Amino acid sequence: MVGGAGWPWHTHQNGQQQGKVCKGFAHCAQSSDFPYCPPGRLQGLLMAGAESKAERDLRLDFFRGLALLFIFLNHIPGNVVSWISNRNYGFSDATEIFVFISGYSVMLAFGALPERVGWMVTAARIGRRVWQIYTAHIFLFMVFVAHIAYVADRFNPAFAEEMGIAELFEHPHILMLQALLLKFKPANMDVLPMYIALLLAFPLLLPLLKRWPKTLMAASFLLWFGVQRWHWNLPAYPEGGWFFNPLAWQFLFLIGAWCAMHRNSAPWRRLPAGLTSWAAGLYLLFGLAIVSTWIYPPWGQYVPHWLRRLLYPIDKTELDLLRLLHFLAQAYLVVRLVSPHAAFLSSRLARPVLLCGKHSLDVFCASIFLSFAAQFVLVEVSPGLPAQFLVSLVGMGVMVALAYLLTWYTDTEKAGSAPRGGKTRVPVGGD
Amino acid sequence: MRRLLLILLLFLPALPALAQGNAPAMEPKERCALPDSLRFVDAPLQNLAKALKARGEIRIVVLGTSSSLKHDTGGLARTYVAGLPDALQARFPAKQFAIDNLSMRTQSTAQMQKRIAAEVIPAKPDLLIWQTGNVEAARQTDTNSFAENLTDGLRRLHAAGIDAILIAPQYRARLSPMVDTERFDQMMNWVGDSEGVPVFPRHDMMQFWAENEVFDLQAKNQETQIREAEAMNGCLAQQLAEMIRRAVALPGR
Repeated sequence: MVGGAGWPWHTHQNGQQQGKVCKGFAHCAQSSDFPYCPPGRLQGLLMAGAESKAERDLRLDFFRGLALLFIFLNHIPGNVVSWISNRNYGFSDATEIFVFISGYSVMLAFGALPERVGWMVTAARIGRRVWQIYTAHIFLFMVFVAHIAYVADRFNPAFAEEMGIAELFEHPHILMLQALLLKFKPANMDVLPMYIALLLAFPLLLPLLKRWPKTLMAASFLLWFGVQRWHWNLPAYPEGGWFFNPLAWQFLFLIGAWCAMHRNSAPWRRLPAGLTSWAAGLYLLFGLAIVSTWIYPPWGQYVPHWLRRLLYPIDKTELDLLRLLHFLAQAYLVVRLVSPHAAFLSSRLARPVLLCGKHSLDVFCASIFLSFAAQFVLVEVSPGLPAQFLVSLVGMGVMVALAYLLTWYTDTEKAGSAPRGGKTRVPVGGD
Repeated sequence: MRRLLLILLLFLPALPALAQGNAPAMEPKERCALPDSLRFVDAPLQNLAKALKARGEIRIVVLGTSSSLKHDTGGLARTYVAGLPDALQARFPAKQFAIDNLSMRTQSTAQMQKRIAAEVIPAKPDLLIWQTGNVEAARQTDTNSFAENLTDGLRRLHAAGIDAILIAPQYRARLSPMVDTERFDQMMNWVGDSEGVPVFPRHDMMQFWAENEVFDLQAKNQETQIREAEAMNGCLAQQLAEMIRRAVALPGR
């Protein structure tokens, strides 16, 4: 896999202050993010000599890392540890966090590039990123095929026929071709193809977003709305459409990019803080109440029938309005409650999560691999609670260990190349 | 101390899961036992209730895929349908049950929905047992079109005054890397909830039994495998008949 590559990382341009730990208000001044840095003082400090254009917002790494851990846990069917995942507490889940932060990070990573290196080079760099993710996806597909081949060898074929799997595997060459075309996607391998599609479109969207942000966001909303209404989707194999419909999820991705673009002016600050927080909080509570009825069906009897008719089904493929609103409410409250300099983000406890978020592509790919391995253990060795805890903890441990390894590797590489090159990335979290 | 509290707080939500996981008293004789949450039903079967009051013979149609044929795909193990007449008879001793099985292998929900209009409604049964979702999961059909076909079929039945009970997809741990049945299971629950139709949670029941290693479906010896599959299908038949009994007893909306 791609050594040292964080998933779209936030490049730090800071030759002179390389490796400097930023804390307190000066840190805030350089972070140029979200509502915690008053713009006036920010500009003053920037003009006073802080040369840093931007710095990693640790919240991005932290919540992306958390989303990765949740996605890993959720990818193991019947895993009791996945109860800690946010999907059990509201309409949206880790995918929304992941896509939003990806949009945000892509904007941070590539948004300013066209002015410096031109559109062609920017597009080429994004293309290189797409290629890396595509190869990672195909590598995972090979792992999947190996897994299936083993299971098929040992398996009672009657079960496979019941599911209609047998006919799917009658023509493996077609299956391979469809996988290369991103049309056949095994269970749990839907996220990367969506990300590839979104990233592939980004070079075209970036100039539009910078020039006519309102128009593009309106078009993005209309496309999302069209999908809700007419169910447009990209074709998949053997039938149907993409599970994560890029035509719908592009809206959240672009909301992320738009937020990154407006992080200095922070238009969300103009919303009436008290009222919006209350509305968001109440909506999250409502989501919690409804989701609890899915987990414990007897509570469902307290949900009136008209409300059930109104709510269901809540579609993930097309990023249902209930899910989108749930994520936005969550994000708004997090932005209000968690400062980019919150002490816990720099704590030792948060560091493993932060590092997972920093090396997200590698950690994500590893998590897919680990979820296959975990499923294998639960099916072939033991399905019980101790095994569920064990595979979850070992899996998360391996993800964190990989993140540490990659951090060590990038730091070592950086130390080796620092005297020659001026550009570097700032270490994550006060170290 | 604060960190400890924070960690405890993080794992607090896992407690109900742990409690649920250990809920039923798993005595060896009680292999069919399930937690109450999996046996819950709040959607009534009013038309069936009326028919039970009015008539001695009850006509039931089963529409599904290979897991609803009398014998499973390999033709070896008896399915839940095989155990259903006895299970129903035990709960409604004074009644006769005529079960017409229209199930066919690898039938999609869209095809079944057409058969509801063409075959089920003209036959005017008192209850349709509609099992689906696995074929869609294997073919990775849109969950949306799955939901639309289900809803459409249920509304046609409702308009014709025929009750229905949905049977959730099967849970097969070994196939989970290939087939994500959870999406279709959840979608079916939502459709059932919104249409006021009971959903028999076969997926969650099978998952519960698998996690608690109640039935040894992965036994190396094929005979044991078949015997265990039949035992589990027998439990499914008992639980289904029990859910029907409870849904019939519920007051109408």
